[in-house]
Amino acid sequence: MIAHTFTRPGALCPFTARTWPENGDWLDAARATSLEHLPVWIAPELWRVELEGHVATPAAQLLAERGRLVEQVDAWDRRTAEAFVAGCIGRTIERLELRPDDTTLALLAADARSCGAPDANVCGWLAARAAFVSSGADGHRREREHQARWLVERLQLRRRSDIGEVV
Amino acid sequence: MNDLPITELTCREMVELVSDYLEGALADHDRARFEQHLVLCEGCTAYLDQMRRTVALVGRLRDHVLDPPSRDRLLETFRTWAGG
Repeated sequence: MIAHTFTRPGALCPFTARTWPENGDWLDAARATSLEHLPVWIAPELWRVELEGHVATPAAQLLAERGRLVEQVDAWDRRTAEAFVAGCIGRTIERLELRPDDTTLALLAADARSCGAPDANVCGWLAARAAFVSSGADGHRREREHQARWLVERLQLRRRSDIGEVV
Repeated sequence: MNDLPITELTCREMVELVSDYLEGALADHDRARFEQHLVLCEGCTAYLDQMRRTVALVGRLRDHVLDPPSRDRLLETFRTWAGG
């Protein structure tokens, strides 16, 4: 199956201090994400990966027996991250404008306004938190779905693959 | 989505779970939630990196590196810690 994974610069896993081999070799216990959960894991680099063996799905993550890099998604760059952040800031401010006396929303909007491209993950989280404050769990889910759809469309991540279904 | 704010770990909880995380002792769901926090929190990411380096460095030490009084003081500290 084809999935995606966000990494630190140089294909470095954000958690395990392991580097994904860029020569096509397999990495055991590979972390990845489905398109649905992309916003949860945003990091500086985005890669298309092939997963093999058993794949578990704990807490918005794909954990595969092994995985390997297929290609970097070059469209995930500073400009795209800035656009993602701008959208998150805008929706958070809109929620505050509907409830201007809500101090939690005011704090979230202030934090969101201070975000730039390197803070795309935090800004997505702030927008989702603001949606939760405004509309509960359903609002949170809708906001994260919106973010995921935006990323998938902007980065054209659903394109077909010869080596497996894109999840 | 499984990253609802109400299920998020706090930094304090993260610190308590770091040893289990590094030893691979967390259940998959807890490990993934731990990693969700790491994505967002530079402070906890730095703390985890420091712990990982500390474990790697201390793991190279051998018994004879420590003089007996220092070893005894360390053991006493660990016993008190575990008891507390």
